[in-house]
Amino acid sequence: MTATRFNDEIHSPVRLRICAMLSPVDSMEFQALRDRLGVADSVLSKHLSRLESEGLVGIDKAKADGRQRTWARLTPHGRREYKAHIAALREIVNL
Amino acid sequence: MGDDLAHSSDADDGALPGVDPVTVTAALDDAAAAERNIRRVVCPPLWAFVVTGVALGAAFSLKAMDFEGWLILLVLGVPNVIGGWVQAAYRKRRGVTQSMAAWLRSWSSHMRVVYVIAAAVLVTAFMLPLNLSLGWAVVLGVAVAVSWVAFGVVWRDMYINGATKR
Repeated sequence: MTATRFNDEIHSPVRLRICAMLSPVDSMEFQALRDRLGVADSVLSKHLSRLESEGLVGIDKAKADGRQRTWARLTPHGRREYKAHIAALREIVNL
Repeated sequence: MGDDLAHSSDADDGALPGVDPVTVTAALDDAAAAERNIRRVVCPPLWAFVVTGVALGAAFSLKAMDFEGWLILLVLGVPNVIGGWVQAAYRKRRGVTQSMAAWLRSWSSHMRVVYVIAAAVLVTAFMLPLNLSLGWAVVLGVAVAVSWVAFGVVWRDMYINGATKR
């Protein structure tokens, strides 16, 4: 049974979409997230930092092809909070 | 670029104005669209599932899972493994990583249960001695049917719904 818990941090449109994209995967690369969200680097950085500071998202750096890449992933806490938030939204609209 | 998570603008395009049903519905739609978008990137190698299904059917039609049946399974099962590798490389190139656990986790709970039970029954069945009784043949047949249904649902969700509902 999924808990229902409205989360103000996740509810922001950009952050909600970030969590939705990270939900079905293990991790996503910064540029892939940015391209799919259609936002600027700075905007995505800001939202990821905020999610990270709340312990909802983890940030990993890895070198690939000689370049530093940033990968984002939902933490177990973030995954629980995202599911609880979606359940709370569904409850609000009685879906 | 993406390496500097510290730099940011002050403007917060964040909070939705209130939690009324209209904005909540829009938020849910946005989240669902975002998930569909990613699922199209991380879809499992469905052609490999089809190949595996054909292999299982072929092996099953040989009734007694004897040498020919196992041979067909092995020969046609190899593309499944290769397909998995290719898919993993494709995901990585698209900036996404996804384990089998994450893939299973991303489905609704009932779907996961169906998939896992079907897979477990199949694996267990193939570990059994080769001479199958009618009872086991029925069990295998049901397992194969359920797994085909499960794959069919996956196919529908990812390719048909995913492609047309955006």
